[in-house]
Amino acid sequence: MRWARFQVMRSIEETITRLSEEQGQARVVAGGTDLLIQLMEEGQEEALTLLDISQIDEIRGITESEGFLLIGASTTIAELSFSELIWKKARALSQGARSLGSPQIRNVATIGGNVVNAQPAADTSVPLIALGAEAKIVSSKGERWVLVEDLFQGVGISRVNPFREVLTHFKIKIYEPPRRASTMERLSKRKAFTLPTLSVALSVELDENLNYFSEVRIVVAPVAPIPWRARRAEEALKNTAIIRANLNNAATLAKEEVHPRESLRGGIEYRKDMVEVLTKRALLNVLSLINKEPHD
Amino acid sequence: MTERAITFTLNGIKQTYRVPEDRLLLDLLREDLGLTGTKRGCGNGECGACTVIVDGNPIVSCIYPAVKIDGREVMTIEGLSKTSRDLHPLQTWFLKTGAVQCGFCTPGMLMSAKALLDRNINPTAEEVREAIVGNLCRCGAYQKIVEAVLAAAAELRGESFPERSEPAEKGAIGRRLPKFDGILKVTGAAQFAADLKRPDMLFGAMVCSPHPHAKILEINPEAAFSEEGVVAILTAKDIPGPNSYGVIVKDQPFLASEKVRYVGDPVAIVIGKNERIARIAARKVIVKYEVLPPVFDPREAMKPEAPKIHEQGNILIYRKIRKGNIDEGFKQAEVIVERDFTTQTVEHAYIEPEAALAFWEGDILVVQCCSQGPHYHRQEIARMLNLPISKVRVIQATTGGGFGGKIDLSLQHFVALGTYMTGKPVKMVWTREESFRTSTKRHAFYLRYRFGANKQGRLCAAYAEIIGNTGAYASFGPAVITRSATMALGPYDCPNVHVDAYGVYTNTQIAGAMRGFGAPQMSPCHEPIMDEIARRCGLSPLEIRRINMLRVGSSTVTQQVLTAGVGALETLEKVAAEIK
Repeated sequence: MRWARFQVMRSIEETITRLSEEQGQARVVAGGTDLLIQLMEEGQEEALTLLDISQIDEIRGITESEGFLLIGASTTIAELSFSELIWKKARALSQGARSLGSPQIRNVATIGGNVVNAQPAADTSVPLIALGAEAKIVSSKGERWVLVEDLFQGVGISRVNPFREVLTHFKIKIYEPPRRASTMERLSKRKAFTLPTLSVALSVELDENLNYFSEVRIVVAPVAPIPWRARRAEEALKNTAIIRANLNNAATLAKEEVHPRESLRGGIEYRKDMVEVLTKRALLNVLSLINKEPHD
Repeated sequence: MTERAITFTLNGIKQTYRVPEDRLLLDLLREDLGLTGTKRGCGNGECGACTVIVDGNPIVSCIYPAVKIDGREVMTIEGLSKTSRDLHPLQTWFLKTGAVQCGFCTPGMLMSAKALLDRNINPTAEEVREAIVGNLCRCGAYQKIVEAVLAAAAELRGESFPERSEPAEKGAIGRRLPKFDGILKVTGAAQFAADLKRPDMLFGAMVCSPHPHAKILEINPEAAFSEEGVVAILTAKDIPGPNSYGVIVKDQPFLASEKVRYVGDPVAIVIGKNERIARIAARKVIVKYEVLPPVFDPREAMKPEAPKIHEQGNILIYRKIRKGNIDEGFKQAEVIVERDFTTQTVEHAYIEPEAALAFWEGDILVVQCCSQGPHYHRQEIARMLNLPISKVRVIQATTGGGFGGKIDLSLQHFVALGTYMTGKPVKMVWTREESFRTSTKRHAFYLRYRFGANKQGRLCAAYAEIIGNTGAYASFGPAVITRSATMALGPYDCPNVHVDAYGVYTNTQIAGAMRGFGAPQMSPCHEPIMDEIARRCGLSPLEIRRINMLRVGSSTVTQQVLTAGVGALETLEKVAAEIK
């Protein structure tokens, strides 16, 4: 058997109870589009119980309240990509979702699973971090809210332990014009169904008079074992006027502060050059979403 | 293994079924319910051949647990039309536009298309392309598939779709006729080798070398036999006839005996009651190796001090072409361009992984298999088993793409040996990983080119050195290298030619036949060189080719004088007119 048991959970409470009962012999699964392949690799036989949380209603769906979006962790990537709400108020996440895998994969894969699988360039993780998203983690010890950014320990290594806890929801501040917007740029060898050579997601917030950047978050991947915040670039833009020279400077800083490695999908020099190109592009795109033209 | 009862609606019929909790939906459909229309192409959710529709959404069933369909509605290819005479418009249009080639990707494509049209009855071409992004086709029918989906959508909307015009004359010539087995393919009824089964059937799994180059010291099957349901473990010593085969040179063992020469070289076959048992047991066979130094670069392998992969040395074949006087030719040249090139190993990646089933029919050993030509398989199997050829029958099952990769023996001899030894039907189906590792590839080349021309752009000297990486065994190596030598100049005419082409063994994947067979590797070399000569002579890329193209009366690199049917210049002029 590739796994010993596959049990469909009806509630988070049931999931937590089962996790405690199994004491490390059971783990959470949602869409399973990454996990099941890992478990089937070279035919391992596992005495593992999989607890399927993909059908728990309380952790599915997208709602809006008080300036925030609440997304259930078992919302599928397809649902995210078709959502008007996400397109309007968390655009970078919509763009990421639309570029993930294929239609067949998107219909099954979930946003929670994508984050917990902890690949640095995961198509929902990169924009979630750019949007400053938080995740709710529930275990027998209680619940906590953690920045999505803090959930990554290494390539494929999440700070969420699926043998003991469940990531149930994401909370994102709404990023919508006139003051806020987000966008994502993604470079890959083929137009679709291809892992990224490079992704850049960013969000901006302008001051009330729409004259300068009050906050910028820029996320670049894969240039490190975890998603990378281009903090020097962010700092350089914070509280500055929206002028072309500043945008170009920030893009250059982003390029200088990354240290990607050579891989199948791109070499070091090329990736660094593309960090500058994609950051520049993303900045111009996000400004056009707010209808703001940078001054020269 | 815990089982659970699930209730679901499949192709409109509600049913309840007890299923093990680790069953995949694809296996529930194919093995338990006998619906073999849905295919396994990769087992990783990447090729889309296993696409089915669950609650209106296309999903890949090879990574989808069967228990998840509890309470849901599932449609497979078998449910797309009520009968094979009353086809869905998608199916009839797939047949009309030629969207069905080998047929292996077809069921998955139709499912993705059906789900799209159920959601959006008026898709743009771009939306159709997006909908089939998760469905791979290696026969290259994408354009026709998109055309078929757009046409079916139009028909479903009650509109007409512009069909291509048919020739005015009567009769079949020039007419688009649907493939003779087209209906079987669009309804999922076509029987590919992996779809076949017989009562009492056993399953074979390979034990392959993990080393690129090693001596086999010992094969210990003891631990594997402890697995319940293992019927036999076969090695080279079970082979009645000679342990060597090959399409041109018989340098490849049916099963490795003294040494292994590439990662993936098959060493033993485990026959078990079912696939799971055979594969688990195969992993328990312990083979003791003495690792030998490997060589991966053919240029290194050519050197006298390189590790010997085969007894007779590492150069499988040397082909030379001499025409005119190359030294004189270069002396006359006013423009000389010299370049080095490399081309890469290419995998055929037919969507159907290799599969075969062998059984006794009376005293005749029958093998049904994927194949590009059953006659060759038959000869080798008869040789291996010391049977008269009249006692061996090979039937080509509907084959899901080959492109040259299914001409050699791949697993036909394994199932044949299995049936010969056990008396029972034996089936083997490769995983995508096994297909990647063990089957043949396109040759990678190192090339050095040197062309010389006068200032008017006329070629007067052409030199090429080709070093082909033929991998661990010969396969079609000698023929591919010969083709590369004769195609070194492509369609160009040159009075002085010197070509040296080598096929060299290395401890890498076997290089064999793949569409083009040595010719595709040459165009990326001669074309940029001609363009460079053109540039230096102040000529356009078109003009340099007009001057040098072969025509009636030209002599080729092998000094054959062409007397008729040379369409190169005419083709060039047609293209020139089009791009103006």
